Amino acid sequence: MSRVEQFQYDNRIVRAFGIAAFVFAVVGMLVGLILAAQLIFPDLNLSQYGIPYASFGRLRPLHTNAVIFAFIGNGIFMGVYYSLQRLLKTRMFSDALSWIHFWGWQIVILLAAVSLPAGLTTSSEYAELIWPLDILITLVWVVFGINMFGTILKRRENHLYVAIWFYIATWITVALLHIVRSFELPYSLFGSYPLFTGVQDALVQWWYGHNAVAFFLTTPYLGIMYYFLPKAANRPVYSYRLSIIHFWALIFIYIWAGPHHLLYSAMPDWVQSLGTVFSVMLIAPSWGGMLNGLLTLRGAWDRVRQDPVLKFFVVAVTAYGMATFEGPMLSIKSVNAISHFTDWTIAHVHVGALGWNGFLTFGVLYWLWPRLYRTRLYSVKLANIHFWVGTLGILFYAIPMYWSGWTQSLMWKEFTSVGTLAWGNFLDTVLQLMPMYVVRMLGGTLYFVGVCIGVYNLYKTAAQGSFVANEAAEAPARQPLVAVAGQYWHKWIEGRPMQMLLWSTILVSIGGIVQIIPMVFVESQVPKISTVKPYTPLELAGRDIYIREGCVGCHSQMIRPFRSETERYGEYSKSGEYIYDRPFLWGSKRTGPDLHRVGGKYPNRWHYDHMIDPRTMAPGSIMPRYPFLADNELDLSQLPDKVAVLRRLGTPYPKGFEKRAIADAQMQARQIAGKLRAEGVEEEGLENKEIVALIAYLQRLGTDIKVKNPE
Amino acid sequence: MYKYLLQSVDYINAFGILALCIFFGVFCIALLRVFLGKRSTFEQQAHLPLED
Repeated sequence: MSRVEQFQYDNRIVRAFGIAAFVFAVVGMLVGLILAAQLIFPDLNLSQYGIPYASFGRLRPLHTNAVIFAFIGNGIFMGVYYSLQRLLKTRMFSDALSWIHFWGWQIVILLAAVSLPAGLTTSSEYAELIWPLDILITLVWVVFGINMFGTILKRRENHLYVAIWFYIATWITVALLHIVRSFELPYSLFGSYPLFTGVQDALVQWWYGHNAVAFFLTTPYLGIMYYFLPKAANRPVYSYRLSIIHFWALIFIYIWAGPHHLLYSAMPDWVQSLGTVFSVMLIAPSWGGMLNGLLTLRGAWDRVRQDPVLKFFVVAVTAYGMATFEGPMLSIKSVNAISHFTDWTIAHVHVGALGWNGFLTFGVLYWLWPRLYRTRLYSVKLANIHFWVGTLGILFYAIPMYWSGWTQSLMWKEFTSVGTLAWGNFLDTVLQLMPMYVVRMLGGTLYFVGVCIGVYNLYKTAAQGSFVANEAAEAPARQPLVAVAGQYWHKWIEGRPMQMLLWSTILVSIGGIVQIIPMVFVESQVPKISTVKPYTPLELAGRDIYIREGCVGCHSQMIRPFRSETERYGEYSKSGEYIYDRPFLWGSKRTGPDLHRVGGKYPNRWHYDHMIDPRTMAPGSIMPRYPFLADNELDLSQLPDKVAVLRRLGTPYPKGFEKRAIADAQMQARQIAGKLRAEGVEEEGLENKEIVALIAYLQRLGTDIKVKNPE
Repeated sequence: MYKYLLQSVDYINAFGILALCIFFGVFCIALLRVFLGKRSTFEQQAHLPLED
């Protein structure tokens, strides 16, 4: 009989992460509301006043990073730190590491909040942060890993409950994803170019991007669900067997699904097919998790009526089920042909984010806070109000976005009886969406109001209670693991965290290896087009301005092989056209038209006027104004370093070209400025303004290939 | 358009087939071994969160 040991659980770190989760819920969703408002009232971009920091393009990544990494990230750590200690019957490995982790994470968030509006971005979705922050994230993640695995190794409970498998898989996979996505070569303290280019960059990006959804938004939250749902319902999980199957199937299959973001793009067909097939297979393990969660409440449904925590959990798990059915459906090529680039994708994302992640976090907070403060929840009525307001918010968000997504797609694809596009002016399709955008903003506001109610409720709960910083506990010392003949095989690995880590690593690596390595090493996957040349230095400067302003958030550069797209935009996009695109800028959403073949379509003067005030060229346009581009001095000083880095990465600039880069750019700038003057622009010093570089880039787009007209 | 891409890389189909084989192999083995395990052990592990 082993001796009983006394110890204490650390609740201070749990509280810290919980407070941070709620703070960044408010911040991140407020930025989301601002974005929603900007689409309806473009003057809210503030860029017409010379303020570049608040435009849609710059704020969108701030919103996504704030809600994913700040809100949900802190929510993950809150749940992990609370449940890990209690499942393993031990305090965290190191209090110091816990606090380094906490403050390190918040510092990354604060630096992101400064750098992203400042236009410092890599433009890779959910990996926008610049390379110094990538390094900081790595360090913080390593600290988290040491703390988590140290705790697992000093545990008193031998068996690793299912939640902990999810935490282990999360940790290793996020580490892998972050490291590979961060393969980049800096050209300055704030800028870098990715190792991969064009089509390969797109594949690596969406291998990363989809698995950020999988292993940051899903697996840790499944772990949290597996702990907190049984606790709140006071019943064990429905089927432990199911949890084993769905865990291993989920972590293996999810990794392959990335190419479903690239269907009908210039990605090779075999990669697209793998993405589709594995995405459809993903329904099974995802629904395994959903069913396990919902069926845990068998016999406890009467309590759901009274308990707001269970209400939040039920909607969260249901939203998870909906999103994980819809996702595979959207991965089918014929469905994706309709949905890609539309608001349907936005609807899908927000059902998952608001329903699954948001509601699960609030449910956990409502369950946890009274226990941390040894009191009752301040107001069950307010919690119920939060629930209903939030649920209405989700509905008023998602339904208009489905409607606007289908509207966009149907209008983009409609032909007249004589075979021309029915809605040839892209702007007509945008203006149709305004009523849906207004309702979506109402939905977001409702959800936000619910969050504010929750903040008030938990604040009052804390105020009336007394915080238990270190919670006393006792448990027998750990027994050595003894193999028993006939024990089921999985029990062997459940007591061995390092083997669990190793096998998880192997399984999550397979998908990436099979999909990415051929794309990177087999040159014939991306056929070269001899007329495609590297960007000139001025075009490079303009491209970096395009990236800085976040244009990729609204404009795609990928014309799919549909007649509706080739009629509207020109020849469909070939993989060989992107071989010098670092980073790739295919985009995920068309709030504005595709730009891949905009080069030569409009005169320079059109672009000049359009940037200063889009509504002069396109009445009713919701694009922000960029008058400061005509005022800002064009900084070419980094061009030599940029060219040198690109040459090192494989772009075939001539040796020594970096020494001529600035002169080359200035010469091209003078040519463009001369043309603008000839077209009536009277501004002084035009050749030294940023707008000239952006025009150079835009006029280059899609002009590398010449399409033969049919005889 | 994609046909000539596949033609230029020998045995590219093998990647997809290999992937599916790996997946089905792992999945089927896991299914068999889980459902042949003892019920009582699973029940004990499922109660872990409720023990504190």
